[in-house]
Amino acid sequence: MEGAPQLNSDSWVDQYGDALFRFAVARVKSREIAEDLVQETFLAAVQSQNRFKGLSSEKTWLFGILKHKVIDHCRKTKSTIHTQDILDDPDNLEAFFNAKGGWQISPAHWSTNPGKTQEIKEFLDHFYRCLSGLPQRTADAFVFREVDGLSTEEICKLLDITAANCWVLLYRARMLLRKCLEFVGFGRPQEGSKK
Amino acid sequence: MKHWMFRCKDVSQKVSQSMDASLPYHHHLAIRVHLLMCRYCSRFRRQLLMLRKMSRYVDSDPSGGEMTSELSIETKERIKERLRALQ
Repeated sequence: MEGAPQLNSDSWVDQYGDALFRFAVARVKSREIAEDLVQETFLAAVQSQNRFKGLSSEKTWLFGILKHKVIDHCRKTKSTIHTQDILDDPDNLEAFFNAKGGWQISPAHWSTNPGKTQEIKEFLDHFYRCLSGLPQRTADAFVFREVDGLSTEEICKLLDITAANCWVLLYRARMLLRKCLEFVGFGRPQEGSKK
Repeated sequence: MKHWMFRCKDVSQKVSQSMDASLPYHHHLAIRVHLLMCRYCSRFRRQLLMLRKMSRYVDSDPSGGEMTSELSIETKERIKERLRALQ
């Protein structure tokens, strides 16, 4: 007889397995690796189910775990675009601006409402290659905030930093990510964008 | 009148911060004014919103592509076995 409330992991696999798998396989380009990542995601979810706060949906929560796994995987592969490959000095955000505090290179116009699946796929491919190439703590702060939706306070505790440090990390992550995405060609030059 | 209001460098920091915390009203207002006048900082802001949107994206194309498909029945069973063993 089973007294403890039974987590229905079978139904998780049936309900979310394919969606997680498709997301993973699109990023890592290998069925086997994607299967492994999905399995690891479910294992991690079962082990940490008491940390699921129910603030997000189960699906969002499972995808969050998978995204961490995808980023970890990308870090080990050659597809990662390292920040130092596109910037001489990634720590120097001053270089993004001229002496007067204006943009050194104007931000490009991005299609911010990609309707087509192909557009989203392309964006996400570049996005994860860039994200996995950020310095670890910078990437961590970004993922905690944007993927996991944690508050600044929660991130401060996890990374043992002050709120001001957290904002600096998040700012750096965003600046480097958008730079990286433009480096790989996201956002077309618009006419009259530089005068 | 604070000088930073007019500099893209400072506005970019504040725009980023505004995504994680609420800013004092006068900062908020100064940013709004700057964004109205500066297409590049407006683009920057939209880029940050796009990064957020794509970070939270949780779906995938169910329709195809040679590798885009489903987990096999065998794989699903294997994963279920592993999960049951954990519980």
